[in-house]
Amino acid sequence: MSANDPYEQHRAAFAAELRRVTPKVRTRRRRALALGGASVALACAVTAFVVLAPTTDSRLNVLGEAQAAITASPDSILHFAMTYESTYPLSDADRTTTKECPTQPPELWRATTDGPPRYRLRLPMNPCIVNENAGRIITGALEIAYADRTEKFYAENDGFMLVTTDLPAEADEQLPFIMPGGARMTSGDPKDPVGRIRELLAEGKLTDAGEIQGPRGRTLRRLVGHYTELRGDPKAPKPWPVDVDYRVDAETFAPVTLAVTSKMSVPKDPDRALGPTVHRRITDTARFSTYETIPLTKENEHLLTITPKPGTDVITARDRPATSAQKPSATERARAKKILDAQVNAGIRKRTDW
Amino acid sequence: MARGIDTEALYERHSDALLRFFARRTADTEIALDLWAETFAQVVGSARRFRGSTADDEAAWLYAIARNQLASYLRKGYAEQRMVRKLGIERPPVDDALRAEVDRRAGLAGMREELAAALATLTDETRQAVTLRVVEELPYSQVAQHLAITEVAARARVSRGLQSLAQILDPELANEVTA
Repeated sequence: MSANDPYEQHRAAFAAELRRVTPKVRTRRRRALALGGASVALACAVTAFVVLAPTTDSRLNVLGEAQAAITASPDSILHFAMTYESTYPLSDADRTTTKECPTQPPELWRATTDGPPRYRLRLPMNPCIVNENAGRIITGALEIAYADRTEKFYAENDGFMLVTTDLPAEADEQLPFIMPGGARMTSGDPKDPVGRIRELLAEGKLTDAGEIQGPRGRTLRRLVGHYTELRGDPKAPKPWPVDVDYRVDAETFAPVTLAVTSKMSVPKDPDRALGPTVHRRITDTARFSTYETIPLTKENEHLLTITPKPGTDVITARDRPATSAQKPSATERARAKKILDAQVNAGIRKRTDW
Repeated sequence: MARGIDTEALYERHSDALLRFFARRTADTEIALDLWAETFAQVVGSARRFRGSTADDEAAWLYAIARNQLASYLRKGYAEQRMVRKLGIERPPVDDALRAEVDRRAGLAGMREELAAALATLTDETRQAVTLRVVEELPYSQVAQHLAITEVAARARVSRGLQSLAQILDPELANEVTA
């Protein structure tokens, strides 16, 4: 090894950094072991401590790690993709969009900075649904980005982007909502589906239930708990117990599934939302394919906005309702029909009506 | 019986080989250094969860973390630095001399020739992206500019391409990535 070898220098410098941070991680274990050697007079108590301390310590670490994995710093981008399912029977509409026509999960990138929201949402193509907007028919995936009261609505497959500027102040409150099929479990936080978990961890209401084997041999860590939710008449709300089963990756502590079970008042017939209600015990489960925080740096800013492909028809408007209400022309219908029919022939689309 | 992991000894024994492992699977020195740093940070950060008892167990654990990091990079197009940041590790700077030395030690020059041959099996779009990034070593911003696509799309194309190349050069890894 040469002292001037840039690789050896780098390797040694990094080894020093690892040494510097290693004690931080080991402190608690050493403390527990040191206490294990206390006086004979306290033998019984010490024995109990030595047996229990590593377990308690490890549980604290699990909960702390779980908390850290879902706590974004103020200058980050929260990125997640998830699917959602419920034991409550699906309505016909939801059955069509979720069971019969599965799609890739929607994906959201959201700046965690204080102040007005900035986000980008990607909605993969649904093989059963054809949307339209601003007189255009949408045949593929959609992207929506929002910042500074300006919304970009981009349909790459259809070569257009609708940019709506000067939106009213309320637009800042209308955050993206990506959970299909009712989404009862978010406890009112569409920005972040594990927001409630973060609160429960902070309140000490979740406990470590150990490791379990997940699908495809993946090791998961299970955190369980209960809380009470006030529901019903705001003047005289009633407490409803809720059970939480939250599973994280045993290595990274990133969320994998979040299941919430509670007795709920729901329509007796899922297809009649305003019909008579019954009480049922229902489990809602969110499955995360991605949940991560990315530093909000200059290089990563592009994750929050949309850069259309060259040649995209960019339509700028101020009045969203009037623009959205435009009906597709005969030419537009003919264009879309050609694409939709081709998608059906290729087996990637099931329905072409809109 | 489980015992604690000796991270310093593990680093001494495996850091060279692990860097070569990453370099030869990404053909990208900077990405390899990012993955290498994050893997050792993960070892330090999650040392308490190590359940093995022998040096072989330690090595197996290290490479399990390494493969997870690599698979995550190939899927996402960027190398995670979560544990490096969490532990507050200050990474030594990477300069041209270091890049050249890592290239030499990992034998990347020869490997890039192999990759160039394997590139012929990719679609035009993916081949262009991988060529610009891996063979011509352009930064992602310039790859995106050349191809008139976003940087995200450029990263996605390169990682897709590398997955296909991994199928040729390292089928075992490709199976893990696509599992």
